[in-house]
Amino acid sequence: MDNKKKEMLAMLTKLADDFQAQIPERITKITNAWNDVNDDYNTEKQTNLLRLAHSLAGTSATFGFTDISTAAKALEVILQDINSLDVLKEKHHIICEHIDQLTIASQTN
Amino acid sequence: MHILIADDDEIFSMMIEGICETMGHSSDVFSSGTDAMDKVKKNDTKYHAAILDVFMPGYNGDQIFYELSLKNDGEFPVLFCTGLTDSNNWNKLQKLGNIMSKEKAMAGLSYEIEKLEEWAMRLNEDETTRKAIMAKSDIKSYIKDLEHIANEAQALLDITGSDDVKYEINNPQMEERLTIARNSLASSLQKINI
Repeated sequence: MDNKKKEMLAMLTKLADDFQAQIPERITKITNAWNDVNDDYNTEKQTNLLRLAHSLAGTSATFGFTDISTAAKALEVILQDINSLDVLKEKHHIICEHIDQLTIASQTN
Repeated sequence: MHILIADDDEIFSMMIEGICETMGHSSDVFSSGTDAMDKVKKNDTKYHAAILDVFMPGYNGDQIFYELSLKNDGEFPVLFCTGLTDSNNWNKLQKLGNIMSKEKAMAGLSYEIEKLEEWAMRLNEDETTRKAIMAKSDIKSYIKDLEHIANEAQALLDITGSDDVKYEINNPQMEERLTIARNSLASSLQKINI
């Protein structure tokens, strides 16, 4: 393996380790953002929650954390359908379940 | 190449930046659509390509791409690197530039950056540059043949031990190659007005 490839591999391995260390914090952020949305619903808060789920889904897929990516993606898909407080109430329990699944996935990865 | 990178996930943008650097490219990294758009609108830096996330705070990747295109005569080499998976978004983005899923980024980003480089080179390559590249190739081939002939002549001088030797090319293939190279060189030089 040439030096450039070694350098790239070392960099990617370090970033994957850094990302793994960040996962609990990222899930806490998602949980907090979900609590925020519940306390006082507005579209800005919902977009923030959606963005956090989207970001976790994408980057965990990049670094091979498949279970987390799948759980975060499922949450993202549900959140995309929320366009009012009524829909939020209707889907409340499903979103809670998805956030729980995300926590479980992070513990098994 | 100098590349504009925009992604709101810090670790992901660090990965893109690292891969670009390892491949010999410089970059500016922005963690939001707003920051990237501000930079593009300032128009104070020449970028050859962009690697953009799609869903970002402020402006999305496609909006930044449109601004870059406006500043670069309508065409700009872009790679959308996204976690979006729905076909509507993919179809829309594919019409604008290259696209890859974040899931495949670790293994596939280097290849995608090479494709961006080729695209950027094609855009920056004007007619004169292309002719000069062709002429350079012909000249190289001509020099190689001359070197071959010189070596043969030197070998002949070494054998005879005399400085007074009339060297004749007695290899018909070499003679033919030399004629072709000479003609090709003359034609190339004429094309680029040397």
